[in-house]
Amino acid sequence: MPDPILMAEATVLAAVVAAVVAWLIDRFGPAAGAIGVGLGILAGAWVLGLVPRVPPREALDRFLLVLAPAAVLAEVVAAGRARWAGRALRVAVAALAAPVLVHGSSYVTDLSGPGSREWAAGPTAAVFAGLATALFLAWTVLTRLASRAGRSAAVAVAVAAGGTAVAVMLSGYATGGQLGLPLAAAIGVFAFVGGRHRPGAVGVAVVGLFSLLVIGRLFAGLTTQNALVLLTAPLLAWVPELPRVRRLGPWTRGGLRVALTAIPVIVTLWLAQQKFAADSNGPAEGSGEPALSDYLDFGK
Amino acid sequence: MTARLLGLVLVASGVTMVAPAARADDYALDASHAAVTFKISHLGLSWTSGRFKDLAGSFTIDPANPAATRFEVTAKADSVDTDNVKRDEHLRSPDFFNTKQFPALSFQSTAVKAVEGGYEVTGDLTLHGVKKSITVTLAGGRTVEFPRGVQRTGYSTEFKIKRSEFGMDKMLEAIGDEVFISVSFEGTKK
Repeated sequence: MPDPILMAEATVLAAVVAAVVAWLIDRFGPAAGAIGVGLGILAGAWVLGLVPRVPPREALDRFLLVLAPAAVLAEVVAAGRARWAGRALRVAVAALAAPVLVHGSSYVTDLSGPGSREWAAGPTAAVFAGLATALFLAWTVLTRLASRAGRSAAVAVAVAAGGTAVAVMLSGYATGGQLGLPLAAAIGVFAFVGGRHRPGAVGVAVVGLFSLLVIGRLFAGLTTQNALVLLTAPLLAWVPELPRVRRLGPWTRGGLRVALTAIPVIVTLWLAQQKFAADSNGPAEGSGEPALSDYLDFGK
Repeated sequence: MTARLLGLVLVASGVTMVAPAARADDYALDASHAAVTFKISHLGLSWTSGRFKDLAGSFTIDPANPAATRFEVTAKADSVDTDNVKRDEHLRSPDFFNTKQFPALSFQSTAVKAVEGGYEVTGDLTLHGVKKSITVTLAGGRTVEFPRGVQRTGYSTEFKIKRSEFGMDKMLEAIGDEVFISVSFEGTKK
């Protein structure tokens, strides 16, 4: 893995910032969790050297400067009295997420001359509508789960975010993928602290998870299959809420939620690792062939 | 009267003799005889070389008025080739060129000055979405007819840039900041 010490620092700082911020503004409830996760992600990005450029030039900049704050705002409003406004903001953020991430890219812009954009208007609308629907559904389902079983919802999203970090790094975006680790830590810490902060925290983390997957798929080499599995894996944490399974004890159901999320994530990572090794002609252990991590570690 | 007519004819012939030299010639880049290659330090130990396979461009040469001379070259970023498929994929990712966001590299001249053996060309180099002014010396300018009926000329230059100045600032410890670039091209007269 790339510089493990730096990643550990980013991960720990993101968790600490998320927890401390939520504790400091505890009286705001779920809004405190949303703000904590948002600031935790930014702190992790700062440690990793991924501070966004102003004005934003790349998809990761746009996630950090536009989408993450917008998701925090939506959760803050949703936690207030005007919940309908919060829901409306979630719809707006879900609808704008994909267009913001691909803004100015060769998918939607004639960067190489007239007619050179890769997606025509029709397919672009279909892709945006599909991605908006996927994000809104995941956002709604997981924040509802966080209201019922906040601890395991936080762990499920954290497991998916950690898996996304590794998958995106293996797909060729070594520096950007690392942001998934502070994201995982920022949401994962709410499995241990801040019970009533969890719905807001999970909401922002889902937008982060979605953004990293879209960036990995459209700007690096993450496969559609792996992106879909990583986005849907935490949704499986709903299975223990089904009528017959609900009879199980709370700890059993909690364990089941985490396991149901972790299994597809682990399988996806194994497949991504196999693909990476195959594409790299599989440098064997001890063969002397450098891996991507060797380049990231060099000189440190 | 005859002497005056003779004078006019001489002046007219002089003008027609000068006119061809003053005319600007437009050239289309001959991609089969053009190369944009680069080399970059690997761990400070050796050089890794690469090239861009997909080039396009045009230029105008005006020997009588270098200020009217202009050069324009574009390379597709995803045509980067370092003879290693996995490395090329990584170079296309947001860690380096981010080819989906910044699909082209380009140079467009803004000022041209004649120097011995070629031109001193100042222009905008756009790389990774960042435009910076650079000055290079183009050597060449000899013209030949090849194949028969096709007029061509060619130029070459070498220069270096710092990739971090263009926002390509990832993995600077392992992969050098300074990039040595060599450009050589021919153009066929339109």
